[in-house]
Amino acid sequence: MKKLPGISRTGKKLFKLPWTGKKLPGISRTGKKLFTPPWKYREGFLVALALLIAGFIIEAVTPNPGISIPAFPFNMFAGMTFITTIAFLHIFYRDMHMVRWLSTISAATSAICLITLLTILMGAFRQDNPDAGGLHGAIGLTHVKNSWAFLLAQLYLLISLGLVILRRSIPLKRKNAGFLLNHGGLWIVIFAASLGTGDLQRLRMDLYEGEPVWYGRDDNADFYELPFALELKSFNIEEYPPQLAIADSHTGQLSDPAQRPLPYIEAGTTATLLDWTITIKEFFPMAMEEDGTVAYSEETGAPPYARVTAVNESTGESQEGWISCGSFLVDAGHLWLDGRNVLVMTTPEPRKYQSTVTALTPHNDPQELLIEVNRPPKGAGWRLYQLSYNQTMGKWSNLSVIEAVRDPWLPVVYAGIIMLFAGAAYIFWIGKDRSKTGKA
Amino acid sequence: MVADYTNFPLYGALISGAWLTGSLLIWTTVFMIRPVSGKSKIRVILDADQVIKSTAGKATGIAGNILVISGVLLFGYYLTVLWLNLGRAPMRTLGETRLWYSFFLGVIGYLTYLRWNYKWFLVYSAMMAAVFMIINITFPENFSKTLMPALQSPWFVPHVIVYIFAYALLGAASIVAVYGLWLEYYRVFRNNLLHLADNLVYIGFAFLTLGLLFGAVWAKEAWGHYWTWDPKETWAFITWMSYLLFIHFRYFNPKKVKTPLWILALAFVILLIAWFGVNYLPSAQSSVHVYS
Ligand code: HEM
Repeated sequence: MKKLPGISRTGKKLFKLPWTGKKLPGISRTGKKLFTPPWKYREGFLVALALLIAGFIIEAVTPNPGISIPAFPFNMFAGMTFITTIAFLHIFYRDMHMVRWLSTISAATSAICLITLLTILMGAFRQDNPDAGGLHGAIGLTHVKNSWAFLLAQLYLLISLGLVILRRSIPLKRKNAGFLLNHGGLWIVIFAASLGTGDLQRLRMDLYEGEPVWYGRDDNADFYELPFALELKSFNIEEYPPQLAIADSHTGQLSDPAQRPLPYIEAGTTATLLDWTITIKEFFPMAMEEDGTVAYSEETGAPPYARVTAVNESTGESQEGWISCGSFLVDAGHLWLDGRNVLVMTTPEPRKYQSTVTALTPHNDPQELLIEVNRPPKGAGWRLYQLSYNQTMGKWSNLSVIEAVRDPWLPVVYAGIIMLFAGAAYIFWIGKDRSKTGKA
Repeated sequence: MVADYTNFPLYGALISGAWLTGSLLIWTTVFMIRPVSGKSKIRVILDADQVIKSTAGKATGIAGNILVISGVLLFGYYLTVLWLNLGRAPMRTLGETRLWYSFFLGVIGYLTYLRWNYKWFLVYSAMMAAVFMIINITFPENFSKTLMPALQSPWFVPHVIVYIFAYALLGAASIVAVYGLWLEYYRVFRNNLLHLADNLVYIGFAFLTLGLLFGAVWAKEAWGHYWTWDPKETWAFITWMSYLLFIHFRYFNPKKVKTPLWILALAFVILLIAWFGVNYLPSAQSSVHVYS
């Protein structure tokens, strides 16, 4: 057999020989020309690369950073068209090489790699300022999740995954159950979550006591009217008791290196820290100090106070005095134990944030709601989340920030999530099925 | 045992001591054999092949098993006491999750050994577990009893346990991968190693998926949306995709050896970024997940 010049034994083109004058274009290692059937991994990666570059270019030439998914009903139409197209391809063009290839592992792998690559870029660049300039901003790397490249990658993945699901689900076979749960669930989650962003509304409501609010503000500071109004009755923070600690005044760190939880401060507590035995003689969860006397007080900004005695077990030395963690109004107070160590009270940590609000709707009676972190009340398609408060005022905040969230596509996403749960259980139970791949 | 649970150095030393000694004892039994005829000793050491043990070998094996089991029990006891004393699940800080990681790593190493008889694997996983315990001993952190409101959710405990379990399994798979690569380049590779990796990855991946989904459902309850592409979530997704790649590649290229091993090793690097590295990435300025 005559050897072609410039082609290695495996068919790989080594270099173009100038004297042959003839270029041998696009010959792959296997001797197959690129993009002649059957397509394999190589073609897959080239398709993915083409999509990536196309996405970057479209992003760079279009005026706004990124794209936004349209709201109902347009996202619905777009979704239905998409599904119909995939079904159409499957039903009428299933034997076309290109369509069949899209449902193979080569296409799927390249789609997975493309999405992964874009996600890595998302994880590497800051995403909080989509208007940031620079080349990477222009091609969408400051807002990957809304960028054209990411959209194209998602479409590629959904088309590939959609076609393979159809191929495997008709006719429906029991042994494909695990496959369909995993791939179908994932398809539904990606599809519904992406289209759902068009209808997702997250609106901040700044509630001050006694003022009803019937509108919310989104991330772009645009205001939207809501079908209900909320009036804050009270906001409060339930706290853990403050804790007792000895700090090293030179380093500013805790002096005790052991991994011990710090003792809570309550009346009568006795604790041993380093060599010191510390007793809490008196404790006021809220108090004010005036001319050296501390007295219970319900004033706004009154911090906890404790009168403590500290006795050093080895030297017999003793100290006594008031300590406090302070508040936005009052400075913290410590007790010096020796030239280096001070006894301090830590700022109490929050146990619970709670807003009590009255919800007013045009047709129903006013309703009282309790909004807590991790316990959002729901109704009329909205869920209400405790988002924030005035942090300098702490528990005396008269402001409570509530986030009202509406996500009509959520049930669809959850349906996909449940399928994925079942799929994961299936994988766990069955493990890898070796019957198909053979015992390698 | 009347030691104070806050004295982790003592517990850590006892547990890793028992685990390491136990696994080493079990491993040394491969030297106390009458080799099946025709087999070189070195093959037998790395192999799970059946050998006829001598009486001394049997005794050593039993002693090793007892030590490993007591290490597991002591660790379980420690975690229980810690949980009860804190009055909350000890899963809040990196240090606390490292404890669970070492625990599961040790347990998985032992179970894998029982199931597939890989003695070297037992030693490796005990060593990994010990490394994580040493990190905790050298960088102690104050346990605290408080639990911030966002973490007070019924989804919190399953989310973390399932994740840590997945990490431990996938970590174990990556050990297999590194060992496999070493064999591939310097010795003779044996395909049953890839089957072990498959098994670990399939189970680990199932748990990873559960962790991701629990996390999503919890995020919906706590923060209003199930997926916000927060840096931690982004890297968790990348990790998930990497193992997905491995699963598909393996399934459709069962004869290839190097590529899947490399995918597996790299996937673990990504997993480590998702777990520890994210806190240090420039993109992580405002992650809701960076607590400690
Ligand atoms: C939940 C995540 C996923 C899991 C657990 C999973 C698992 C599997 C498994 C175990 C197989 C081979 C076994 C079988 O045929 O039943 C498989 C096949 C396949 N998967 Fe996935 N996969 C997932 C996601 C994806 C994604 C994102 C794609 C990308 C498009 C994909 C594309 C494919 C393709 C094309 C096949 C070959 C099917 C065939 O030729 O019949 N999978 N998957």
